[in-house]
Amino acid sequence: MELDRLTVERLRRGDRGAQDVFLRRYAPVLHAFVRRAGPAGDADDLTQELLEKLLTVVSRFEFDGPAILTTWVFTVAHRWLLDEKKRRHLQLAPLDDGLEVADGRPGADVAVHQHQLDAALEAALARLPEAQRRVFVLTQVHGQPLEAVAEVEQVPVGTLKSRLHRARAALAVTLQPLLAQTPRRAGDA
Amino acid sequence: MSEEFEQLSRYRAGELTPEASRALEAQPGFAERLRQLQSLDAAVEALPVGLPDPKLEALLARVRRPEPKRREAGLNLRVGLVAAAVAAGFLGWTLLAPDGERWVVVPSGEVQIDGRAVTAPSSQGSGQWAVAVGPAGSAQLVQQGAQVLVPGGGRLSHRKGLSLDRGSALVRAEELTLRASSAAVTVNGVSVVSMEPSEGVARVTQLLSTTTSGELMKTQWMKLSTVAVTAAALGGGLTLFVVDGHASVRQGDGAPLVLQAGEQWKTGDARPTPYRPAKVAAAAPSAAPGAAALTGESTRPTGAADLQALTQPQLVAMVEGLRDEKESLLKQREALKKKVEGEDERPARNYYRLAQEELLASAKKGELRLRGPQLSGMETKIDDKVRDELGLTASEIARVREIFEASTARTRTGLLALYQEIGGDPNQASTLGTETIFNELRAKSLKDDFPDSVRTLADERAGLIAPRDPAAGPPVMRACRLFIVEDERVISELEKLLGPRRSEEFLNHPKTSHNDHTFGVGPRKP
Repeated sequence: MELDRLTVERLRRGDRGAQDVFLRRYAPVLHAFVRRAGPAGDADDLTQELLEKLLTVVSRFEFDGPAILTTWVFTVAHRWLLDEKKRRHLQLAPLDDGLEVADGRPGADVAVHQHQLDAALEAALARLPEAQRRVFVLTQVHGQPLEAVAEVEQVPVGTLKSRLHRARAALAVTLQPLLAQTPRRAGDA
Repeated sequence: MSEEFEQLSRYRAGELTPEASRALEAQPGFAERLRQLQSLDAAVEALPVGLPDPKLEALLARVRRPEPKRREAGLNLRVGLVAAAVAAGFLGWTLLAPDGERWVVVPSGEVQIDGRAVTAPSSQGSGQWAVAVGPAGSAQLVQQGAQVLVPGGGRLSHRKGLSLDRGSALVRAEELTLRASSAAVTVNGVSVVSMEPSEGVARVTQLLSTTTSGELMKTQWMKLSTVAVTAAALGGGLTLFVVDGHASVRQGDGAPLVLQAGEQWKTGDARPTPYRPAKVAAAAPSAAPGAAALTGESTRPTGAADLQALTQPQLVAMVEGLRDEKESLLKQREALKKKVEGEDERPARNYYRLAQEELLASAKKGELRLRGPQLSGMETKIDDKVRDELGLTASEIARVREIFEASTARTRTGLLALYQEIGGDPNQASTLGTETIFNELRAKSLKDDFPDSVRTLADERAGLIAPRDPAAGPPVMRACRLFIVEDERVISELEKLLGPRRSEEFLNHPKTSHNDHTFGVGPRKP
């Protein structure tokens, strides 16, 4: 849900109450974003830094500008993550195209509960090549517009779509043993 | 297998040609793989994006808030001007700033590094080096997150960090420690560190007070001719002025002394004091013994005995300084007044029917304002102030809620139909929020569909093109059209209930919340 104009104006002026509203709205989603798309292990610290950065620069957000606040926040977060990566010289994910098939661990042949799939999905996401993971998380998990993400990544939208398709395919291959056992619903072919 | 899923992903996004789609559909196992991909998307949608309350509270408690902006004080205005000027002055070089311990030294005029004259920017590493600036020169030292400006006569050396050996330095940094004299000064924000003798310090404070624009400030700062040799001879102590943010100074093993914006400290002071620059010293440079005392408001002579101690030139200079200061503050007050009045005159955003000029302006910018219903599905809240000021009755409030809720439901139904049209699973969609469904429609649209839709609908609304068939166009266009239709319908129903005037007052009341999406894709390329 977007913050209203008054709250945004107060936020831009540094009003503490508006900052609370802003932080409560965006801290959880940004934590999720940083946890999945950022370096492993220090999501709390990184999210804290990111939130502080956002509070510092939010006065630049124009309510009547081209982007809604959420898109703007994620654009800042996206850029910040890329800068952070450069700064830290991160080695994030193995560039193995994420094509490893999940192992046949005991219990995989039984009915798969949602939380098992979730856990496997999180693990598979973490194994995606970094650039694929970043754009997949932004667009598919957080619903950010392709145009905004493509602009920050400095790639055409078509390239971004290709990354997304590759990421989705890699996940599907990795998770296929589990996906194949998801219950069929009425109407499924 | 990966390629098959990739093709299938493109198929779901509607990116394949009809021939390629048919070929894919004819492959064995197509339906099963499609189902698996849908299950995957459902699992992705269901990934948690929240935080447990205790963890959220712990995280929020750690977040440091920036200092609130104060707008009323003359001193703060000056501080803001100086900070803005510093930011503007260094902007270009910030882009060139190296990572880590390396500094880029940007010379202007007579500058030497390790005794060698330099005329072009050079990168300096973490070893030992020194920058000396001639009387008519200046040097900027830039590093990621830190900039140091050294005017004429200054000298900085580097050995396990920067040291100011003589002159002054204007420091803008997220966190930078600079040694000066026997102290370590850590700057978070903008500060001036000075090793000047008293008259030099007075000139620094004068500079801080009289700056009216970035360029002027920069020019004046560059021209600030420190008397480095004299300073060394006189044994000028350390003086620290915090222009913005905060800074700390530590001497020896003592506890650090923290200064906030607007405070100064000099060697020998027990605590920081507010600074209020005076112009006396500049006007009466011969009054060296008293000049330093006149640089702080707390030490400005006010009593008859204090005044009697001053010489005639000092008194004249002080009166002139006070007169200048008064004029400067009056000008600042006038400027602030105009700014506030300007803000008051700025029209508030219109949430009622958009006027023709607003629609034309949006079309020109390639922008579509979609106010529509509450996508979040949250209950429509009507603030007590709105209720009281508009005299809304309980039945009117209930009916207003019904109008919004019905609009929300219609919008969801319409978006769900479009979602199924692009191949979305209706069972899966039932678990998605309405806003997520709309975002799905956007994300899965073809490359130009969304910007084209925005521009076309904006043109339609402004009457620049004839309305198109509402049932035509890609799904994302019809989704946007759905919002426009709902926007109109909600306003019409509110008007029937409250009348046009109260509807407008209700929708444009500052306490009325809105679900306001503005999509700007820019004008069409010629």
